[in-house]
Amino acid sequence: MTPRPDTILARASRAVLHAEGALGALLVAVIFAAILSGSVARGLARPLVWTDELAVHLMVWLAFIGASMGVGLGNHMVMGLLSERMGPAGQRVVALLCDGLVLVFLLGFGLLVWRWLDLPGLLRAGSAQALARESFNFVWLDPTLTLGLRKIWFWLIVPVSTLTAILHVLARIAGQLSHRGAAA
Amino acid sequence: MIAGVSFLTLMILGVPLAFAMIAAALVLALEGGDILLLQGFPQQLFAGIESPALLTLPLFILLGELMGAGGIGRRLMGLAEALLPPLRAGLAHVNLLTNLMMASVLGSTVAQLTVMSRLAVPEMERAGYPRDTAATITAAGGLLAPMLPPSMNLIVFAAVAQLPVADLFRASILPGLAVAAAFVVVIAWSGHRQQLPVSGGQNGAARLRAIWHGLPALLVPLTAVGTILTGIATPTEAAAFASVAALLVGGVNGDLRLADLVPVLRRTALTAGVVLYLVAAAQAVSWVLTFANVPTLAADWIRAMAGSPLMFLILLNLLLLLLGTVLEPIPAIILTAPVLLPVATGVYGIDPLAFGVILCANLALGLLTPPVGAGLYTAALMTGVSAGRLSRLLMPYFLAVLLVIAGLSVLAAYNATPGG
Repeated sequence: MTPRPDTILARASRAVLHAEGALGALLVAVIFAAILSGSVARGLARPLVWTDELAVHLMVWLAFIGASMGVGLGNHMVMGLLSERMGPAGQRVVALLCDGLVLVFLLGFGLLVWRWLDLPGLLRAGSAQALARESFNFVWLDPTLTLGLRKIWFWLIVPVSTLTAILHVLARIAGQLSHRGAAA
Repeated sequence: MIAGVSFLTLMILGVPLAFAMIAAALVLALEGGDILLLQGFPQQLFAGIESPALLTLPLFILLGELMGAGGIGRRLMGLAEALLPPLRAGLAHVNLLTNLMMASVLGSTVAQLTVMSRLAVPEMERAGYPRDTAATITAAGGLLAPMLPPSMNLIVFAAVAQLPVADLFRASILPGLAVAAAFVVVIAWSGHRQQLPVSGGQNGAARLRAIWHGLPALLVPLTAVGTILTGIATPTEAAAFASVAALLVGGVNGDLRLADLVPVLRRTALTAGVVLYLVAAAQAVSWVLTFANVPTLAADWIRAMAGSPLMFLILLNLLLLLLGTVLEPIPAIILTAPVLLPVATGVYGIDPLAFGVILCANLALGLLTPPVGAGLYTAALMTGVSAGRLSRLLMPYFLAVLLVIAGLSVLAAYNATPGG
């Protein structure tokens, strides 16, 4: 990868990537500990009912954090057949186009997330219960089965990771544009 | 139609496959006028991977990383060398046996090739093997990882097909061992043809020392596979127990330090996160496809093309081999399994486990075939042998795998109960 100019966006993206990496590592460690303790407790005939659900929800967090990190680090699985057959200039154009398309996708997805969570509706209604009564939107009320928490605490990773992925792709685009500017 | 075109365009341009799949699913929902589907889409994406069975994936990736960092591969290779008698192409057989032991812990060809290329190729070169021969044998050995439990491909297939991972693991053992046996024959044949060096002449003391050092490392694959096969643990728990074993073996031997653990966890998080998100995308696509009635339409179309289970399996193998040349196994499984599995089981009465093993074996070959083959390029990069030469030299090994796949297909067709 070519070195990128140190813009505010690039610095912010790097800082977020660092935090995501640390959180991801912590999640893996907790998932590992949860599975192990759940299994040992079951073996000792004192089953812990919450370990599986916790591990599953943290795994989904891991997926969304991984998706965002994948954007920042360019680690997602891609076909790349087109750019493999191009020269360096063509590859840069295709990379910029791809990042642009990823940005469009993330903005569109962000819009869906915005509508799903209906934050303005929640503020207008005054409470999650009132929102559910008014619009049958139970997203702020859904419970987990064994953890004693509302599911929204886990679902919040969807908007958060969408925002961090948007930051990463913006940093990539800005880096590529300033690189082109510097080259010209 | 628009969804298919937009997916292909995005994929060819090089947009991450997961995003291309989700975008195509959204376009498909819009095309069908299913606005309600769009409203629940983010929640569905989350729910798609809210499955305890999928926990197997991050834990086996963790295990693979611990194996790499803990020097387990080196110890297993020493053990394999000590166990084999003197024979022609002895080190090539040692390489294969080590790959077999590694495959029962690692689920990824790329991970296995990365470790084995560093371990085996220099040693084989020192013993007088041409580098391209050493690289070819190592690359072929890497094919065992996705064919034997705990293959990541089998885990993803089980998640997409909603089948018990442990059953799929059990069903894959014999076919995986058959591939290993076929490779033994190919190595013996090329050993005589190329007059590869005879090796394995260690004296008794050296042999005992290698066994003493290698035996603890054997604990890791034995825990991973043994606890699943004996039913003591679920595959997820087996991965956790084997990770404990890898931590212990690596820690006690001083190969794995506390400072190594954070990078191991970070790498696991990134790899697992990216793969899990791809599975989430696939589940979202299946969800929209089901609403659009695509599996039924595909079933009708395939039924018109293939009159019998065997014909279906032949066409399936050809399709998968072609697909494998341009797609990596996991995305290919994710794209094909939701559409083809219901046809295989519903129309042709093929056992879903046999179908899964055939599908995964076919797509594993794609890892070593150009133009898109992560395994091929990893092996080429690690050994300095060109990808083109490597893929030509791998031909006898490809043929061996194809023979096993043909045998599996005939068996699956014979046992099928069409319409049943």
